[in-house]
Amino acid sequence: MSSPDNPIILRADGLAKSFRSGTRDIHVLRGVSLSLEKGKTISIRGESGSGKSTLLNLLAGIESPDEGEVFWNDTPLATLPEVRRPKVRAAYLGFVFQAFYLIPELNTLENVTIAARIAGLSLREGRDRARQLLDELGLGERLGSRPDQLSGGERQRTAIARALVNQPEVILADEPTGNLDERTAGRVMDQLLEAVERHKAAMVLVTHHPGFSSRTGKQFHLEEGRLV
Amino acid sequence: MNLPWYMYLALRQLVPSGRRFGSVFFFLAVLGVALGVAVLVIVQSVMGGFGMVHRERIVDTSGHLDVTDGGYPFQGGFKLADKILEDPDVKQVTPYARGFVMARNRGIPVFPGIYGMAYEEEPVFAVNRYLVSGTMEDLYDDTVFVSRSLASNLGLWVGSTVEVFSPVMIDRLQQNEVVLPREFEVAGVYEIEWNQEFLPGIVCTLRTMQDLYGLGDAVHGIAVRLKDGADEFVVAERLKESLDNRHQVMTWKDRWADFLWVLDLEKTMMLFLNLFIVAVAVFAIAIAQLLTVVRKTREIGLLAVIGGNRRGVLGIYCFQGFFIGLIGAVLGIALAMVCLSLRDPIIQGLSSLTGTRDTLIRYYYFAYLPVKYNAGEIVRIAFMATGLSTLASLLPAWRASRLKPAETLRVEQ
Repeated sequence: MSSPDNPIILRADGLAKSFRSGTRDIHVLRGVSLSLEKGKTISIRGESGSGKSTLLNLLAGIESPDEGEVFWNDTPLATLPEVRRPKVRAAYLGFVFQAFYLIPELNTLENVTIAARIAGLSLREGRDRARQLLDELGLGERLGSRPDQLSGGERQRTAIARALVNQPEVILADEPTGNLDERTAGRVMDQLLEAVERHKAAMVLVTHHPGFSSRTGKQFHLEEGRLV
Repeated sequence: MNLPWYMYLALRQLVPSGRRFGSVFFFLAVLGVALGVAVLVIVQSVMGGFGMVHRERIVDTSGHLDVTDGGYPFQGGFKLADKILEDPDVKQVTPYARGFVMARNRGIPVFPGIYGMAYEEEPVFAVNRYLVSGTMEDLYDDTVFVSRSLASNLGLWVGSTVEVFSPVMIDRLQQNEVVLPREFEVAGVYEIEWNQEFLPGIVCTLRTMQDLYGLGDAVHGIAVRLKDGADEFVVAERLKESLDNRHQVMTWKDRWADFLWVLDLEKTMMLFLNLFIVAVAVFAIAIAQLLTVVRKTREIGLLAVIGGNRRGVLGIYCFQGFFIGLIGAVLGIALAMVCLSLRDPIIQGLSSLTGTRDTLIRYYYFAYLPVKYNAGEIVRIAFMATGLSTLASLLPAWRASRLKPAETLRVEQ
């Protein structure tokens, strides 16, 4: 239940989503509901193709559910005009992807700053925040390096800084350690969880890794389109 | 620079961070536009140069205005010339008579145009500027100037003699008179690098011409040169009002209207045809950018996910087209200027190597490439190249902006 100290900042009610494959419909999500309180973390585990990424997409508002509704800070996403959604999303959500998705032409600092610029921050403020975050994540010496000059762990830490630069209320992390070796993955996950806590953000973590999942406040399992 | 994020990203995709030079795509795209713009500027400047030289030659050989009686001889030419000279915008006047004769030397006949002029200081037909041998002081009633082309055809040089038969002599022949040609000493040779069809082959005094044509004191017209900056149409209207109705006043632009139209048409056609070069470069940009959009599908999806709106994504690729066009146009203009400044050594080197200087003059009337820079035209070409390049980016930009983020992030790359 929501309390004044820990209000629910992200909520999903009865989300259903299906995709058409040939002549048949594949029901990926069948009435998924969840809520996330401010500053809390939850994890979602599930087999490949179980719909974890689809659920994150629905929560992020980059896909629309067939049924059900997503609320950002009690605002039904469906009532938010399509044209306003990107700007609100930029300020409200941060994303960490398995494949990092850094822009190859930009250096580390620019990759983080660009997210701040998209959210409407000035270049100076965006740079200051990016620099601070990258310092926190141990990338202070790699500000001028391009993604192809970084290791996998460094890339993901850059992506974490990018996700946090707009001081979002929620981080959506989709298999953030999926492309990293075990040792690096552990270190990156430590840094992700620390950074999320330090910045008082909430997080939805999608992972295969039971160890990482257990470090979040609540753990869910996505099975046959339902959260268990 | 505090650029909007899409403009910054557009620039960074062209010139990635930490690299001194841009991407290969950027280099090739700019080179394509630059070459297209350079060709356009070179062709238009050279065509403008040809046009300028043609216009100068027309004014140098016939003045700004021609006052005639419809081509018929008329009396009182000098009095009329004095009256025209009273106009405040008139600088020089020259009564003249012209026609055709048969010139012969060592049995070789040629039928050149002949122009007889009365002048005191400098004639309107500025033959003095084009004399390659002889001076204006050498032109008397028994001497003539001949064009280099006629001199070459008849084997004439300064001091040699040329026989001249006029149409009046044919009348005499019909009356069974014994007709002997007039003999003139060649006092000078002039060379005007222009279409020889438009020029007289012989220049003589007005008295000589009147004698050859049996004109008495009559003239065929008054050539008028105006002061710098005077409007020939305004002066022509003023003269029409002040002169007798029988006199016709024609500006050089009216007289040569068809020729000038053809010159302008040639220039426009060259611009039109050369535009295809820019169009090819622009199509190449569009194709390359479409490929870029496909290659960068997931990055475009990422931008949408982290808050980039469609207009921003559209802006990235439109601005890339704009930057490519702008930089290509600036480099193209610079390249054109370098090529044009080196044109004379190039042409001279080529023509002296191949021994084709005379051929060039015979067919193109110039042994050099005249150039006229037209700032307005160059700016228009730059605008056009930049605009076309931006337009070419619209389709890739539109495609990028329509990509659905959820689908793009699923793309395997």
